[in-house]
Amino acid sequence: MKENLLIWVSLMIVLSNIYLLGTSRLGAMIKAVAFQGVFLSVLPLLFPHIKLEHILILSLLSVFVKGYIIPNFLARLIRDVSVKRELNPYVGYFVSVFFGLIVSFLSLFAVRKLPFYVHVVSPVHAATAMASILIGAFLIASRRNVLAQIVGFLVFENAGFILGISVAASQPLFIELGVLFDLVAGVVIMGTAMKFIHHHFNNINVSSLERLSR
Amino acid sequence: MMSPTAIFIIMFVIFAAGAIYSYSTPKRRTVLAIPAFSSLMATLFSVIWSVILYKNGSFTFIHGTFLIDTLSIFHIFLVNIMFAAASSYLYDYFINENEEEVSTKYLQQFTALWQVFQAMLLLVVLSNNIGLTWIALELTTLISAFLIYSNHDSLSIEAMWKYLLVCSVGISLAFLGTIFVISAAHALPSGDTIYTFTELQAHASDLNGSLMLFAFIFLVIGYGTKSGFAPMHTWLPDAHSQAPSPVSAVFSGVMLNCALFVIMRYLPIVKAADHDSVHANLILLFFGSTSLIIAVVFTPIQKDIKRLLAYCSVEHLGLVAIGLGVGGVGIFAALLHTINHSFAKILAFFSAGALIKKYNTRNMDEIRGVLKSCPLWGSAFLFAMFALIGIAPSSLFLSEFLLIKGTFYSGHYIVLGIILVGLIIIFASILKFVLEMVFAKSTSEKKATDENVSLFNRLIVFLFIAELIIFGLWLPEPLQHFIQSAAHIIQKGAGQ
Repeated sequence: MKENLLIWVSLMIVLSNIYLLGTSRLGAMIKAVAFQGVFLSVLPLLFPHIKLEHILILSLLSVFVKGYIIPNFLARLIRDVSVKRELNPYVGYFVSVFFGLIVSFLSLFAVRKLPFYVHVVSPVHAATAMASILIGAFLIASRRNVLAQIVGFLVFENAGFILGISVAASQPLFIELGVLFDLVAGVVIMGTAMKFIHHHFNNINVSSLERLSR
Repeated sequence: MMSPTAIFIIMFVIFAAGAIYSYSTPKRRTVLAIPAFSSLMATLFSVIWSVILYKNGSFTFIHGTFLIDTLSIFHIFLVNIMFAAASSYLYDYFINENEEEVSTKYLQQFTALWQVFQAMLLLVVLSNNIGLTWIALELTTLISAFLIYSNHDSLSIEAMWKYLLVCSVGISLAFLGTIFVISAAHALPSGDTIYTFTELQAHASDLNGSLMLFAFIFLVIGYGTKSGFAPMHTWLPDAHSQAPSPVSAVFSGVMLNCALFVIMRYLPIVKAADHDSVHANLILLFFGSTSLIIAVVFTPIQKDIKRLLAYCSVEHLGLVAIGLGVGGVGIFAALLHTINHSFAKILAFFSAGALIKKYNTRNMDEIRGVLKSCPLWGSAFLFAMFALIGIAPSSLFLSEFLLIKGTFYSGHYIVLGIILVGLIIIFASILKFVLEMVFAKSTSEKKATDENVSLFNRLIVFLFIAELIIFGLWLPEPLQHFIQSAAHIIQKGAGQ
């Protein structure tokens, strides 16, 4: 039962990753990463060795932050700067999706070679996290649009959450809360920076940001 | 004697109150004076910590969440002293600007963030909990991003964005590394759950060596991004050149070292878990050498004075990493180099900032005859740069000499070659820049004045130059013991 559920959650995460790689609409990207965040927040419930109140606080807060606060904040930002689409990313959408599929598939095998395989982290779990890390990094590197990069950063952070949840029991709760707080603060500050960028360049493309070189 | 916890609380209350007060008061002079006051207070209170440390040996407080030993007190003083100097410089830097040039509202925000930034850096070096260390270091990135965006122009937003994105991604990698460390600790035979440096050190030999090494790669890449290791240094020249000079000074002289401090904490744990093999050292040597090579390639082609200093930081942090990597006397040299580099680099940024204001350009081709046009900052710049390229008998010459000696004894001859060739090329190219700036004739007529340098700042310049010369000739015995005991912690681990 638990294994099944774990596989379903992982599948959802992988699917949302692929979707993120294939869409040009920023609104859809925000929704997809929120969807991913909410699914992730269910994960702590699958770990019975964590204390119940610890799980509940963590899951509920995580749902609230990733499913409500961050997506709303980002949605309002794109409304303010009135940008709807990423027009020409450095790497095309077809290639991106292809990359995502290959990475998700290969990481299933690759994790067996890594030293953490023998430990608490289950292989499906670890493979999902690894694919998410690579896809998040790929999004940051391959997109011109600042908001798409922020979404890439969120995917990256989600990967950390997937891995972190398996060791959450050993940490005091305030550390988990601190990590969530950092995430919110990070997104808010990146969003503010995005507003500044829009103010100066009237667009939110990082290709405008190439004047400082060497 | 006050308890360590009380001092901790007082110190953070001072910063919080200082930040709130400077954010809310309308008087420009008061706004600018508060950071200097709060960092001086913090320095005084950290003296009490060091007295307790001296009497009782290393100790933890608040349920083992915070740790004070020689290594952390070393960095606490580094943070506090450098911030005290930079805060005093900050006063002179902004005091002559009028309301149109720099608004009071901006100064309020700036000084408030400045103090929170210092408090977070202190939290990084105080923390014993590996999760808290990560949280605090991530917060330093988020807070200081706004300090970079202060010209409110398109270039500084570019620098701010690069800094935010590169460092956040880097720090996320460090988060993964932290998780791997915790999962290594999770699989302990005793079944204990541990998450502090001291506990990890105590159980280090039971930890899974290959998992710890795997984690260490992530940690070095992650925290190394923040301490400017190449090839993750890309944010550094942009941020340093666009930020106001006091900010560039503390970035270079303090923040990079605080990130490196975290790596120093992990190093002995990973080494003990990996049965004293050289793998962890090789990782550090790799990043140290890469940084040096990148600095060698990019230093000679610089035009912007602050970008030059930024690449110089990449070089020196690379040297410190190499020192940690070679072990033995190298670790002592690395710590000594940390102090010397901070003094020299902060002085260099102070004087560069004053020169930039004077000449109204960052382009080194247009800054000429600095000794004539502003004698104080010109000579400070000359001394700082001579120290940074390691001219004898400056204190950086001594630490670089020890470092080369350590590398030679450890038998890493390739790294030794990189250091020697790299230092010579950087020496020549920076010397050329400096000589031109100092002795070439000024094209335009500049009045020979140092406008409004306060007595306090003259004293700072004097003391910093004194450090650069005196420590090169004679290292006081107590300081030597102090650094040795901090080096011992990097070798044997906290609480051992």
